[in-house]
Amino acid sequence: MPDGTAPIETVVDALDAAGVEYVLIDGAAMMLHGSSYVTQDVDICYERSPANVTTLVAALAPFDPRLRLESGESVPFVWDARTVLNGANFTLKTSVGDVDILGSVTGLGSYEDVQAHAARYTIGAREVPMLTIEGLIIAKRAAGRPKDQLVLPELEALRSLNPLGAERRED
Amino acid sequence: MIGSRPPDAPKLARRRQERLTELEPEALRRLEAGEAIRYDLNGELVKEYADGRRFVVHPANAERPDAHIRELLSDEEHERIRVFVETSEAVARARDFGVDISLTLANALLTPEERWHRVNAAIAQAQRLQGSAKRNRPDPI
Repeated sequence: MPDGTAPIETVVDALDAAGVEYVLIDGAAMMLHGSSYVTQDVDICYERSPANVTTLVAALAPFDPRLRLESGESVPFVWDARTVLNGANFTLKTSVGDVDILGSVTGLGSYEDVQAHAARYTIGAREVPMLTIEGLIIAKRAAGRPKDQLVLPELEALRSLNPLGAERRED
Repeated sequence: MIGSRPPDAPKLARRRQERLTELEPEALRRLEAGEAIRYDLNGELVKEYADGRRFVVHPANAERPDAHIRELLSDEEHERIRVFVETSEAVARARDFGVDISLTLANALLTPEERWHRVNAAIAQAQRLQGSAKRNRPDPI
């Protein structure tokens, strides 16, 4: 059982092993692009076909997902494909950390639109599907919350800095 | 394109020459013969290849040929960053906004693997803090 010391690794490896169609978004993607923002969870945008949702549900099931409330408390709920298909965005508390699964991203749209602003990044032995800096800027600008506005200048600076080649990108 | 000024080529060439003359003749000979060399640089074990790439190696992995912590920036890259920080409008805007861009620059220069570990550490730390807050919460009596 995962010990919770490598949350993103555990989640991404489980999704990849199951073959889930997803894109890593928000805080974790920002940090991987070099932002000094500190995230507390793993956020993904997932493809909404019944087959992919079924795969996603099976991949995360071993981590005992519970519904995370605004207060930080969590409540048990029925974690199955039907529940996920009847909703879209879920904030989950799992045994390896908080995981948010989103059917769409503000400013970008559904998974297909998100994917158009994503690329596969080589991180060690992994190929991680992740929003580009440009995609993150569009999403943050559209979200419009104060905390999103605060990270925009940094993301724009990172966009200029990116050609330094601190990351490996494969389209 | 980073910045609007080209790197100072003569200055970079001078620095490179200075560094090469600092190396022991035997190390220089091995480097010119296409071998990798190791030396101490400000207390860190550095491995340098004939093509100019330099890596920091953890002492515990000194004997492993492929092990390294991070790639050292070349003089050219250092110069490009300096020019970028001095001339980038985006960096100036971020500074005006109160963003500590030096931290961002430090993060951006980490390898993808190092950033990956940072994400893991941040989420794991958040988990621990949440657990601690839950344990220390007063009884709702």
